[in-house]
Amino acid sequence: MDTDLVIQAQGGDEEAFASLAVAAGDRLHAVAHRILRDIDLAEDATQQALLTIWRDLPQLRDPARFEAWSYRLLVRACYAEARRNRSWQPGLRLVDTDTPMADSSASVADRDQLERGFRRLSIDHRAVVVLHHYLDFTLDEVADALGVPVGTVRSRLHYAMRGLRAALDADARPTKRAGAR
Amino acid sequence: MSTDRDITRIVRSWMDEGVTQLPDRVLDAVLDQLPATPQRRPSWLARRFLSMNTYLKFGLAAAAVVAAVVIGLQVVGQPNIVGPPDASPTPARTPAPSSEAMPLPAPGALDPGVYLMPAAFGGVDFAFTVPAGWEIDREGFVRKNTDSDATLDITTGVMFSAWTVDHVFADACVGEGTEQPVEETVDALAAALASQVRPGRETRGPAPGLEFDGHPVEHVTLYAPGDLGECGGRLRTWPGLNGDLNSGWPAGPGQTDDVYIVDVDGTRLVLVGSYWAETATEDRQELDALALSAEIAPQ
Repeated sequence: MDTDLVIQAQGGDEEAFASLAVAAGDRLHAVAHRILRDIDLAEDATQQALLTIWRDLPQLRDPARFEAWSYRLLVRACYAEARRNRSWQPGLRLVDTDTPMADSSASVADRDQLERGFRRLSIDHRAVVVLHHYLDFTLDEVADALGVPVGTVRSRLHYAMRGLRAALDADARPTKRAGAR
Repeated sequence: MSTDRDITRIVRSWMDEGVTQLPDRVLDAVLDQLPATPQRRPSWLARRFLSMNTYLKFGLAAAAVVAAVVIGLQVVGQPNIVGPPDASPTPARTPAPSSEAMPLPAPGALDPGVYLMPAAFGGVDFAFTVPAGWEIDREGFVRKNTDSDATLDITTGVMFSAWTVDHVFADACVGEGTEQPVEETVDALAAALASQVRPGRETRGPAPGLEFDGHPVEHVTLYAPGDLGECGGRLRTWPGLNGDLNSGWPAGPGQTDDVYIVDVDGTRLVLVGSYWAETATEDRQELDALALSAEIAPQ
């Protein structure tokens, strides 16, 4: 990220901020979508996060930390969207089987189970999973981005992955459960 | 049963699916709203800054009225604020001649003299005596020899401030999300600060031998260690009014805050004397003397 642009935008330069928004918008939106699992909510959260970034940019003490800081505001916007949209409930989405998979290791059944398991997690836990496993942030980087101790990140990740694992493993158990009844 | 490695691989693969581009209309909507979205400046102390502006406007517009009020200022009691019970020697008390109290000027150097800290900051008007070499910043902090305008970057010098506090962070390291309202009593705030989770030491107790209108002056010392890496380089002691997360009081590495909490006719006044690891002893003595000079005006 161009720290000169950040500094200019901190000074109120709208054109500089527009350049920042163009550069950061896609990755913020991608993260929001993966946290919220809903395209409309993700767009709203990204829009709100970008406006908050603009509004609070003068408060950023170290321009070099812009990227990590922007994720913190994005996650906060995701919280707000999730809270605001009361009708938003965990649910199933149709899986487009024509969409080429990035990796054949995630089967349609796996994705369905992951979707369910992930939606059961809090935004806190989702954010840690997305930053670590989608953006490849180290745990220290996740902690820095979210403004929480690294121990908290570690425990959230552990809890989240345990939940996802349980969701995936549940897919393999129906037959046994049926047989036990 | 899936192994940890299986789960990680599957989750990462699943994460690679999904949108990666922000629609232009969303970006356009953001950029369209910029002119109507003022930027917040400065950061932590926005409320204080706004309060200061309000006060200064008032002061400039009604200087004559303020002067008349100040002349009529009478001491109804002494908060008897002193420095921390350890380290620095307690200076002799030099009561502020309240009849000479001046409104705080615009940010910049303060001439030696007696100034009126307006209720906009601590909820209570009070006068205090400023020796030579001090200044007032745009956020209402009275400071000397601090080496940075940014609170979190200060390593030396002293700072004095007054606050209205209605929330405290339960965990100063985590900050946001742990803010909790505090009842409007001296004891409730002292207890909330003393039980705050933070990596530094905390002490609490009545300031030795001090009272105001028969009530003890509660004293809490909050200390931040030199390495705050696990807390993102700062602690958050309390947020702004109504739990506003964009203002409030932070602590940087090596910062010590002596917090004095006083009940003034039902209004809780919070005074903070701050110093850092490299602060000179003589600066601390001046800080103590400045706090000790505080006189409460009739409310």
